[in-house]
Amino acid sequence: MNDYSDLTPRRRRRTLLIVEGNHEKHVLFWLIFKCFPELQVDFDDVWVYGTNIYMLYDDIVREYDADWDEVDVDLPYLVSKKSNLNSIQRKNDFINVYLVFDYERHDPSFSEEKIVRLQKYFSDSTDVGQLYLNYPMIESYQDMPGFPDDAFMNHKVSVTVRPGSVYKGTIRSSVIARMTGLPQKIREILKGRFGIANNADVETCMLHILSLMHEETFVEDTISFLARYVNKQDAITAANQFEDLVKKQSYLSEGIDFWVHMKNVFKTIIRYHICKADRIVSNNESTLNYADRFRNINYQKILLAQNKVSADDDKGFIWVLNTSVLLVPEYNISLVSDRSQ
Amino acid sequence: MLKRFEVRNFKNFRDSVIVDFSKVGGYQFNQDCLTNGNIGKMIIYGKNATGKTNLGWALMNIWSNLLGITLKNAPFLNVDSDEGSAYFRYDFVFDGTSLIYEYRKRAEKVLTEETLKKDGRTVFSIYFDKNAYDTSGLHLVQAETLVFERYKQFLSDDEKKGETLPFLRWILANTALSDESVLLRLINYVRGMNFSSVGDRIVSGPRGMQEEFLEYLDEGDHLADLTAFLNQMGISCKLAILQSPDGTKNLYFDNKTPIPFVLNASSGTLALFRLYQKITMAANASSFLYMDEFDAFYHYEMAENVVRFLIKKYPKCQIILTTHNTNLMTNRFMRPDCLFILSQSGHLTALCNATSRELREGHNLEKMYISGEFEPYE
Repeated sequence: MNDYSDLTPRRRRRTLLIVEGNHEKHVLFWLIFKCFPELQVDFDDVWVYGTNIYMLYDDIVREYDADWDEVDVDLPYLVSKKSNLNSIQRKNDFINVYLVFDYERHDPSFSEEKIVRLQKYFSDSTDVGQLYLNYPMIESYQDMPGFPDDAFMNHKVSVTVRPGSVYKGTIRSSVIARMTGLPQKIREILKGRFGIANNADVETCMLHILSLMHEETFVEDTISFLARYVNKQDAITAANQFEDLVKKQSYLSEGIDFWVHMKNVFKTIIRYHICKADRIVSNNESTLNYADRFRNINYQKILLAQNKVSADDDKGFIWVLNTSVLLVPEYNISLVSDRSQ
Repeated sequence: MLKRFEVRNFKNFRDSVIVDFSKVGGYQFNQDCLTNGNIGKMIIYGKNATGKTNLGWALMNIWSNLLGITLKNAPFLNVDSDEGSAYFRYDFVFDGTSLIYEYRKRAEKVLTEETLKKDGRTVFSIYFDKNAYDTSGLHLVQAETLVFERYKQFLSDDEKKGETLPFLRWILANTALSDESVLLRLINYVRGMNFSSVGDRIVSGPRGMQEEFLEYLDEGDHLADLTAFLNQMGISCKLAILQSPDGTKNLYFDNKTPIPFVLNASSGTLALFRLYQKITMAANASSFLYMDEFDAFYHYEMAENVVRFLIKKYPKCQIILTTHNTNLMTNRFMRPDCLFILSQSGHLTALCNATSRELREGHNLEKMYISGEFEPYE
């Protein structure tokens, strides 16, 4: 009998997310995909590119020549080839291709022409891919002075704030940074303080703790779960410590778990960023609702506006805006509706 | 027009397959794909052996009931089902009057149930196996003067041949229908239905061409129209009707040395010619066309031209096309509510209902289909 196994159909219906660094993959999108399972992303299909957008530009030119934007660029092919993945991938295997990169105004290789060409070309997530630029960088989704806070609509950062680590330092202790950092904080405590060495066990414990939703039974539940991995006394100490951490975020008092809480937080963040994106381009206070404002969003216009206001090396500024979180409403605007959970 | 069709336990369709022309999405573009607010032009995709051809035969089944045309549908019943009969339901609407014609059959010509409803009221309903008849609503279609006993006489004659004479066909044959009669609208619609499959015999030789069509071409500017049609579709040629050596008239390529059209045309040209023959002879008066794998011999550009031509030229005709040509899966001239996938489990789903994503005009539907966007519905 012949062997027909090589004719197995290729795996389709995948979503590819190409991101610049680890924060994007392991913090922001790990959380977003947990909160919005509707996006159906296999975490293995989040590829960390590792270098900035201008290196990506150079790679595209190397593969497709200078007039690359006049041909059909297959980004999954290009990136999988460069990353030496086990098999070369093609864009026809993916129903969505998202690219998430920082604006990198301060980078020596910054080029208005290059970044505008990229933004113009990568404008369809279902086809060549959609480029989401974050201004000034990925952490901007955490950069809300309060939460929620209407002052965010006018929030900007001076171009003199560089390098990126300086900007990151200013938002490290923001409300949202603390919320999104909770899973990692719990992992660190479980590993460092209570000596759970196995990563899978750490993950199981963290997921369990964050899925608890009743204030009155939180400690009891945590102790009985952790007791499978650490001694009883450590379990009690850890449970009290986690209670302290979790209570600061006050979701338990609402009778919901961390994931529902974060989903609501992301919905609010995303709605703010939708309105901000529209505000940057239209430069006025719109009376439209966020869904209508979302339909007005034009990523190219946002980039041109940012290029303009940040042009002056001393007095220039960058509107704080994270467009990568908009891939959620790009899939379906109802996902960020304040009515559904 | 036909608003909805349902079939069950017929050939490969064990469960219900529903073709719902009234399920229109809220798209503002390519409105010419709609007819009277319902879906007017439909393209159906599906992997091999999902039943695209069978769906055409199922839709045409009303021909066997009302026109007495024998359709070759063996085996008739689904071979995996225990149900003893196939179910067909046609929902029509003619100028605001609704007609629902439903029936069950054990075999192509053996009915077990037959019902007609007008605006929700039963005109008649017959359970042949149980000898149960309700004809109390015949006045709703001005057929109250019919003598039912005479039908029963015909019925028993037919039963001896192992067939059932559909009551609706008998009504149509024995009632003087007024011009306004909804039954007249129905029978005209059914007469105007057409089906073509790639498996049909393609015109095979000079004698194969129907004389009737040749006569039609020979009148007025019809031949010029055929030539213009072929040219428009990308086949540049000149045609003429000339006398053959045996004295009969035939269609020729009008070259310096004329050569017989049918013997020399490529399979693509012949398929196109046949399509033209079908639509010009039928579509002017046609209500419904089901063209199975209509573009099997066409270059992708020609297939696109044909679809555009059908949309533009026959706005009133409900047209269903089946194809494997994904180039036609586009918002350039179609829309997500008019493009369908027939799944291996026998479900027909419009693209707009085959994803939780909000489909927009700018989406590249073909690429999405190939990438697996609609995979759960394939």
